[in-house]
Amino acid sequence: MTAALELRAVSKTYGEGPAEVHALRSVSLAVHRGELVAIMGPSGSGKSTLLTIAGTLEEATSGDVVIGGSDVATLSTNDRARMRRRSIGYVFQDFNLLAGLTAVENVTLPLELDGVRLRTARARGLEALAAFDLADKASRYPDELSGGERQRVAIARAVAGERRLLLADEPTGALDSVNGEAVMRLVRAACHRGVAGVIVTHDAQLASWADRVVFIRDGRIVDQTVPPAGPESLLASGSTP
Amino acid sequence: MFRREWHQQILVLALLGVAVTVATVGAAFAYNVAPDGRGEFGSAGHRITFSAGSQAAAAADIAAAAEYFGTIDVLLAHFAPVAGSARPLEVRAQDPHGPFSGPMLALREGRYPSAPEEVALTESAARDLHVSVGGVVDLDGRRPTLVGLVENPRRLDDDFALVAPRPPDATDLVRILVGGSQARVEQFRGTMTVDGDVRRDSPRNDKTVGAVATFGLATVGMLLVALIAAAGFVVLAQRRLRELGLLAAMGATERHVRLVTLLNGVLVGLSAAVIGTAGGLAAWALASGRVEAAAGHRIDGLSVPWWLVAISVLLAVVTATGAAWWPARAVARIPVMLALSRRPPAPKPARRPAAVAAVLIVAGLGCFALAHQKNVALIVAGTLATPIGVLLMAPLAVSAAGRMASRLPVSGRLALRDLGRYRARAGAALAAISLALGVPVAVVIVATANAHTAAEGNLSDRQLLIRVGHGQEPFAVTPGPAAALEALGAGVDQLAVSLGGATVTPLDLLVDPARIPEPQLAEAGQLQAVEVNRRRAATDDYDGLLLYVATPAVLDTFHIPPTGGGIVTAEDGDLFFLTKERFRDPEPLTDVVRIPTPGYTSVPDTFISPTVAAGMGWEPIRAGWFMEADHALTTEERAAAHDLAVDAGLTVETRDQQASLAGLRSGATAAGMLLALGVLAMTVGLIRSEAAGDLRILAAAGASSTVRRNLTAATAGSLALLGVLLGTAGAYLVLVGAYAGDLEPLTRVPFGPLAAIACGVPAIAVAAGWLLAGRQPPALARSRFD
Amino acid sequence: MSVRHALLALLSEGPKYGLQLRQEFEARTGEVWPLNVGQVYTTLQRLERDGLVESDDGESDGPQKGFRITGAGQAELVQWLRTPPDADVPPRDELVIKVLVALTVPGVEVGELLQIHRRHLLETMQRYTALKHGAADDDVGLALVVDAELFRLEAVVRWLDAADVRLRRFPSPHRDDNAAAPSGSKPRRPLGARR
Repeated sequence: MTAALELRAVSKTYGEGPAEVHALRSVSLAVHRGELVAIMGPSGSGKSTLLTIAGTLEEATSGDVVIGGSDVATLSTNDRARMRRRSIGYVFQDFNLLAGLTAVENVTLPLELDGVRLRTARARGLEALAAFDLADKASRYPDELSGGERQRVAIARAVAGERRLLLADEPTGALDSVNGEAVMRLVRAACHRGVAGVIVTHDAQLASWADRVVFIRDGRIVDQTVPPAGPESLLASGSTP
Repeated sequence: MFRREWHQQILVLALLGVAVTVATVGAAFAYNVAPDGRGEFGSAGHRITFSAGSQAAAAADIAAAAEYFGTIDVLLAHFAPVAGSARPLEVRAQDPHGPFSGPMLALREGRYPSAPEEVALTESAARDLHVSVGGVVDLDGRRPTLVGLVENPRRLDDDFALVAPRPPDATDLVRILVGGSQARVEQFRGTMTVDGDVRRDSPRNDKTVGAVATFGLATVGMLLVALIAAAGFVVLAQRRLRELGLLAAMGATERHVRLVTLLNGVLVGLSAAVIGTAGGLAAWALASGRVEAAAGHRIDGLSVPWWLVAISVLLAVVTATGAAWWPARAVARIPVMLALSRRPPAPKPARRPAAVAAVLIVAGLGCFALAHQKNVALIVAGTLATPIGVLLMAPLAVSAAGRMASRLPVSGRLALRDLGRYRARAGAALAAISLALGVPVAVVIVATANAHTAAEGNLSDRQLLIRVGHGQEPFAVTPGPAAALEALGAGVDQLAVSLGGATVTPLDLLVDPARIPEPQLAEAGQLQAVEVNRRRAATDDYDGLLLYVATPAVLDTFHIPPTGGGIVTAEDGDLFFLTKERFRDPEPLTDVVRIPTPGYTSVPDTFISPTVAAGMGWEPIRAGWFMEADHALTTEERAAAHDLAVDAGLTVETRDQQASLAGLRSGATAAGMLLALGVLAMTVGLIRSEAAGDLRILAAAGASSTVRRNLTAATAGSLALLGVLLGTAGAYLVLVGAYAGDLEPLTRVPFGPLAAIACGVPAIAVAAGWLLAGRQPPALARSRFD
Repeated sequence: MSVRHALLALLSEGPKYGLQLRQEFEARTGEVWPLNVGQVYTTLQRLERDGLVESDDGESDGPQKGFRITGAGQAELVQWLRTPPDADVPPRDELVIKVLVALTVPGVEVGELLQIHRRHLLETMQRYTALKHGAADDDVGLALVVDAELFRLEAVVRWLDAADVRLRRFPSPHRDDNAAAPSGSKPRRPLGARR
């Protein structure tokens, strides 16, 4: 089975000479369909760089990035943009939405950019918003939504259509834990439908939503969790207080 | 203060600096290009001109003048034929260090002539005579040595040969430059003994025109500055919203917060004023050389109206501060928590500015209506209120555009909604663009409105005015033997036939056999036609009208009813026959019959009955023919007529094509488009620089560079389109007010230039926006992640 | 938390049978706290002895015996709910002690040790989160219990992160000589080398 996202010995260097910074050093990572992977590490460990490279927003200095079977390095700029429109959903910590577009227009943005007719795109956007319990907020502008609503709209956009890869950078960063949990449930649900998800975070609770937690440090992957057993194990382990 | 947001600060600074530069250069240009009389009069207040007639009389008058005025400057001129040139060369005897004539003379090379056998020439005269400094000039039967090249720095087209001062000659044209009041000069003129006409004239005061033009330019320029600066400061204030919110959270009062932004405005204004002025002066120093040729006189790179520069510096600071005041006030009033979250309150509906705009426009038009084109104060008020009202519509226009965007593709929608969302800055930018376009549009409309129609101009397009001889001077007539005249008449008849049987009316002027001809005319073998002088009540000076003989054919052609009057004229004002004797106490002519104006300026409109002319002892002389075809003359027919006329020794005047107005139109169109595009480029840069965050989201959503291009192109294009609409609407509103009495001229719409502006500016804006916006800022993707 | 008070709380809703009490206890605590029947009955007997509950007379002990709360029981329950939990545990956390000990044990890479514990903690958290995710939305009891555990574990992870940063800045209070030559990859000198 091909991984939805595969990084092979990816390195990224910023700057030159004395100002040279190694953000990533030979990172290899595969994320499969339906899998949610959390990248955890302290600030400056390179985790955000990993996400931008996986999202084709930046190019690796060396190594291969393979998304859905195609090597990103062989794609033109426009092909990459098309890939972002069709296959990759991005969720940032905040400022995810274009203030000049309504909620539904923000969701349909990639569709419209892809040339889908306005009416069709709108119908699909409303559908996606309805699935996120936001149908009544469709015509609101971002500054008329609460933080949690804005983030839900952002995820609705990121998973709308046939997205195969969801990339999120501290997606619950600005939210309280209940709202954050709601967001993570949505992410999980998307993965359940077959989306491969990558979350970058330094928050252990957020990371614990993942199937696999990858620990990154100084640009290197240092460790990862083994896929957990079911919840029964908690009972069997006799962790009764 | 400048450490933060230096990018935006520099943009605002650049915008302001450019505006100040333009204002400085414009002021210097208007000041220097405005013609003054120094090329003719030097620094003198008056000039007395007469033909010497006799050496003794002239010398006596000059001596009398020197005694009467104290300081005088005498210029003697006679005219020497130049081989191979139709025009004689003026040989001018002038003291190079004369008290008044200094501005009229400058040395380019060599030295001034000091001995009788020395001469200096202007460059073009030297070229015509094929001589260089040190060579011998074949001039007027003498062979003086060329010792230098000179010029009249205030009139570069003044061609002459300069010789050392000498006593007057009988054939000299004497010019005496003097100071003092007009009455005093007139009094002296009455005492002069010389025969023939003595003219007195003074430099026309065109400085007011220059000053008004300069002031208008500066005003428009500073209004532009204010609008652009307002847009810039709104952006800056928005960017620093959080910072200012922090200030407020730490206990700064509204006044403190306002002061921070205001101070920013003062500093930016000051820097822009200094940089802009320096840039403007440097540009002027570089450009003045090129302007010289156009202006026809030397321009000193340092000849800048310093008081005007000082005022423009002051204005720049004041406008920048004023422009900063409004956003400062708005920012200071934003609740602290909203400021901290960098979320400005949702824009209020633009009702109040819209109401103010409507009131201003109505008031402006009301002023025009009440002014009846006479009350200057009301006209000025209307001229100010109406465009300001229209400019205040700009925020309304951008928010309306934002609301209408729903049906557009995403990039257009985003561009328009962003304009509507950031109404303050977009409105100010739009107002600046509208202003930049409105002024040239108004110029173009006025130029077209003033362009003559079928019923105006020098001649109708069916008419030809043919004069004997090649001279351009209409008061000069060329006498000739009857046979020659008949030959000319035959040529004219032939021309009439070639034009499909045009009617031909011979025109006769009069000459006074007793009058001593002026030297210039005598040299050319011409005579001075008798003119009737008309006093202009407004300026209390006289001009001459050509006096045609009212032959039966003339009466018939020009539809003059037989009135029996001595003089028939379509001009107004009192008429006189001025001679030296009669000048002192002129009596207006009484035997004058007024007729309706013919509408065309070159059509003869003043006639004298043959019997009255004969009674004065004047002799008719054939001066030309008036020809009227039965159809509008084509360009080819005109060209053919000119060719034929030149061959026959005639001069043909046809309907003036008004090249200068066309030039003005295209010049204004081009200048306005350039200015508007410049303002547009900078304001779009300012507005889109705010949307860097949007670009990150767009990039993540898979927008290709095309979408980025479209976004900028749509922003630029919609601003340009709105600017064209507002600018044109404003221009028309003002002009409708100004032409309130008679709107007919405005029905002549300059479709060509307007279309060029209306299509060209948005098209260029879209294309430029599209081309320039492709590059993705390299640090974009990273900036918000780590 | 005491089973005593939990049973009192259940009985405050109305009389219940012993078996029913056990089922409801497990359901309300998110089934993370298994309770055997014997535990339930022992507790109930003690409660009855203390006069906090009453049982149906004449019935033999067994699943069908009904219990109800007494006035004294009600007072005890309210009193207990308002008493602050015993939060002031002495700093004798096992993980803290392990890390402190590791600093002094030769041949142990403390950073690696921290990561091992971090991974374990995360794996546990993953299981709790999966539990929470799998439960019904309205299962508030489970969510509260799981959240409590997650927050506790998260606190430990954050302590590990903080310890990590602190140890990076000052590699070890006991290995000053090593700090002068921080050549990270070399095996650390055995602790015994310390004079």
